[in-house]
Amino acid sequence: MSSLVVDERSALEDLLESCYGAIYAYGIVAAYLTDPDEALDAMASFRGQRDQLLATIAELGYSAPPARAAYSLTTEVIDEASARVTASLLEESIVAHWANAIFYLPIQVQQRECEFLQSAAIRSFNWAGIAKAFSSAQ
Amino acid sequence: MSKANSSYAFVLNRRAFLAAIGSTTVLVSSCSFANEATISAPVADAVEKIVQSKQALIADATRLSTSEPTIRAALQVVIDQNLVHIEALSPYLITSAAPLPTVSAAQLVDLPALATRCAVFSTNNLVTAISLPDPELSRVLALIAGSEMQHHALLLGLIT
Repeated sequence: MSSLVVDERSALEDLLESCYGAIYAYGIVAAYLTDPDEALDAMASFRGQRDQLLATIAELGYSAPPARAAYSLTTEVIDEASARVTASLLEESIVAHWANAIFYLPIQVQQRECEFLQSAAIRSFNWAGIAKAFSSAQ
Repeated sequence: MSKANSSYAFVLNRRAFLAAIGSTTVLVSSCSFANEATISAPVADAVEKIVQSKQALIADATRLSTSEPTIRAALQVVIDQNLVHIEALSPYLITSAAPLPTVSAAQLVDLPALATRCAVFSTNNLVTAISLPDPELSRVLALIAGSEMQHHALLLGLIT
C-alpha cells in the first residue's frame, strides 16, 4: 500500500492494493473481537469497493494487480484492544491513501471515492474514539 | 473572576500553540509546494472561503462550549483541529484571511447544527479538492475532509 501515485492508473492501483490489504487485515481483526460484526461489515465494504475498482480498471483497459497471499500489519494484534487500534490505524491509512489519489482519479468515480474516504474516516473514529486533524498512511 | 478568565485564556493559547507545533510537518510540506507567486486567484479565493467558514465554526463552537460546559472537551478538539486545518491552508492564501466579522451572542448555534455543519464542510471540501488544479492542495483538502467527518461523528455522539 505504498506505491507512488502520479496518474490515473497508479491511483487506481494504489486504492485497489489498499483494499486488498484492508480485507486481509479485517480478517485478523475480526478474529480477536468478542463481537466481530463491525469488522465483518467493514470487510464487506472493502470487498464491495475492491469489486468496483476492479470494474473501473477493466473499463479503462488497464490490468489490475493481483492480491498477495498475505500483508503485514502495522501493529501486532494480540487481543481486543490491539485489534481495535489496528482497525483504527488501518482506516486512518485508508483516508490518507484516498486523499492522495482522488485528484488523479477519473471524473466518473471521484464522487464515489470521496464518499468512501468519508466512510473510512468515520470508521477510524468509531474504532478508537479519536478524531485527528490529519490522517497519515501507515 | 478575572483570574479564572486569564487562566482559561492561557489554556486556549497553550492548546493553539500545541496544535500548531503538531502541524509542523504538514506546514513544512505545504510550504514547499505553495507560495504567493504560484497561487492563482481562484485557488486563493476558494481557500479563503474555506478558512473563513472554519473561523466562523470556531467562533460558534467557542460560544457553545461556554454555554455548555459538559461538552467543552469535545468542542475543544474540534476547535483545535480546525485551527490546525487553517494553518495548513495558510500557504495557499495570497493574503491572510479576512478577520472574522463580529457576531452577536444571539447567534448561538446548537450542537446538532454544529455537527451537521462539520459534515457539510467535509463534503464541500471534497468537491473543492477534486475541482482545483493542484494535487497537493487536493490532498490537504481531502485529509481535512476526513477530519471533518470525524468531528461530525464526535459531535453526533454527544447528542442525547
